[in-house]
Amino acid sequence: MKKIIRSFLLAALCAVTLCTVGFGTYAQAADSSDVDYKIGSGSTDIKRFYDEANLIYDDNEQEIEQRLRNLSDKYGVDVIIAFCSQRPSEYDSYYTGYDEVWRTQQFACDFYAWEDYYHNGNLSADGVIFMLCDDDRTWAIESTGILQGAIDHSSTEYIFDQMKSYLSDDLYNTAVDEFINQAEIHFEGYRNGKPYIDGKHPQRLFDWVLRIVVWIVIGLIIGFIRVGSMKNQLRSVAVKTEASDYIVPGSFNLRNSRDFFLYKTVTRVKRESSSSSGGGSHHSSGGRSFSGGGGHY
Amino acid sequence: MALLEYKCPCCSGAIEYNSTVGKMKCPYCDTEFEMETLKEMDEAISEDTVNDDLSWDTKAGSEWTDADASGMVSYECKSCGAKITFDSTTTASSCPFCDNPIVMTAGFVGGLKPDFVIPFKLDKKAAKEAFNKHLQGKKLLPPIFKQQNHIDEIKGVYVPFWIFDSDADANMVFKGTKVHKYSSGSYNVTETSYYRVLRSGSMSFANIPVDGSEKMDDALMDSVEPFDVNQGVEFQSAYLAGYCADKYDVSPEESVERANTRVRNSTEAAFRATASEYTTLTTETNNIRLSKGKTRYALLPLWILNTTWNGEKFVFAMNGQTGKFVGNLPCDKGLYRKYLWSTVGIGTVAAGACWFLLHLIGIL
Repeated sequence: MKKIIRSFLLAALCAVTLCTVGFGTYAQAADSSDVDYKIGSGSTDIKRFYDEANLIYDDNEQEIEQRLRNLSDKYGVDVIIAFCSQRPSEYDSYYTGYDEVWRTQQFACDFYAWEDYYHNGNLSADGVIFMLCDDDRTWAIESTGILQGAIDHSSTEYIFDQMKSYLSDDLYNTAVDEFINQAEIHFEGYRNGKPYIDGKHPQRLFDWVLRIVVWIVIGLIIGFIRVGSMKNQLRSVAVKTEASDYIVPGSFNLRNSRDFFLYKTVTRVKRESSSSSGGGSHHSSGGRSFSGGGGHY
Repeated sequence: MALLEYKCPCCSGAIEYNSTVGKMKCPYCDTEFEMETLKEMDEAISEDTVNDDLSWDTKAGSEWTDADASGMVSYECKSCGAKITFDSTTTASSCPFCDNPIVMTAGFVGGLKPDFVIPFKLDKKAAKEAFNKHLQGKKLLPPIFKQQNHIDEIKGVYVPFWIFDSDADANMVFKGTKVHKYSSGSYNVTETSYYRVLRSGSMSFANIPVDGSEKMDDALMDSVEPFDVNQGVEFQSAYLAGYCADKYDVSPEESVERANTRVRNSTEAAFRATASEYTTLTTETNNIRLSKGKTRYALLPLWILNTTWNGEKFVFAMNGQTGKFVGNLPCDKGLYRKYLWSTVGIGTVAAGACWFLLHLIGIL
């Protein structure tokens, strides 16, 4: 019994240690001491939230605008969210060789560049834009400047995964909240020298709970296999349903062996692509370089 | 003029010639077949038909002579009903099957005289050693069980068996499939070809033992197999010295079903092995006809130990010819829980540590 208690205490200790190490990086994003958070070249005094598609209640727009302003000022970058009802028609007529996801990504990059143009080139060189196109339900998150090192293609997929259920249920306000939270977590990761790019993602408490559950399940499987094999050692009695030991050697004579082909069925299943989202780098009409991703929601 | 009717191999519906596709087509499942294939298949099945016939000549054993009977005495167990035979010099007090007291009957009651007996080759000492070895290395065995097992009460018993020999002629029809998977462009393609697989042939079985004792657990008796029946000798009462013999209480006619099941399964397995190239093989017809089937009555040597632990009865048996020892053992629930939870704890920590190491080196 003591051994069992010791095993569990050790398991609990390891789990807590791993949680502390892993979750610590996530918790750092919430620190609010007097430090300089700026990672970009400075934010600009511009409108940051555009809801041409009317997906957000007017009452909430002001609050979102303020949150984007605070986030941008804190990190010295420009964070923009734009919801459009549909892309300008020239994107569909001009970019004929590309799908609608790619066109939305391109529109997002151009949107950021136009904002820069309208503000006489004063927009921050470092920024990120989150765009939704309501008519074909496409999304794009594109980062530029120094933020390309904070949010890359894999980051955008991760951020979208966190918002996916909200967007599917048309909970746009909650999705915006999640985007702003995730943007801050990614900025913080970059500031700490551990950016969440190249497939590395922030660790959430739920991830750790899930991980520990998986370890316990692995432990249970190993445990049941071990005691199952021990229990099998106790059993040596079984009914015999065949008489292969009693076939006279050499007596088997195959008199007739004929196989007739009847018919054939063919089924074709289209392979699922690993990700429905588009990635890669884009350039805005002004030549500014962006990286990020997009997809359908 | 005879009207030929073909049945669909897929759904058994009546199929007809479809002039549009130039093939036989099933109107129910839309499967198409070449006319020649159906004709050839039909001919092949009809020219090699075997009707099911699993009958045996169950005449076994012979009548006892006075000289045989004079050297033996019969006892009866009032508890389990066993009729046990000893040589006349032995005084028996307990039943080898249930361990209850037995009483001598008025005269010798032996039923049929066995066709042969396989004498004991291993003595009680070997049986005790085998039993102790059987208990070793069993981590979930209750420690106290070993002390309370009454190993000295292990008894040598000649158990009645019916020995079946036969030739089997079989005709099998299987439905086989061959599955070929490949990628084509952005599609995963699965091609499944269906075949009718016909096999026929013969094989011989010799010395299939089926125990003729109601009191002996069939599974236990199956588990001590095999016996080398070629070492069997003519029965003499002298072989009973120091042992006892159980009288059969399951007739050969009643034992035939178990022999048939084993013959049928092994015959099918042998024919299936000739069609190993198929991904799946489903048996559609399995006809077996037995010939030259005969039955013999034999007494086979077994060391038997009956013991009760925590109100549950455990029976162990050792093949008195080969030394094979069998018998299920009790499981200690406390030890089971101890090993389970300690392994779960260690496994959980190990899984976490592995994850952490893989995370450190950047794989996860």
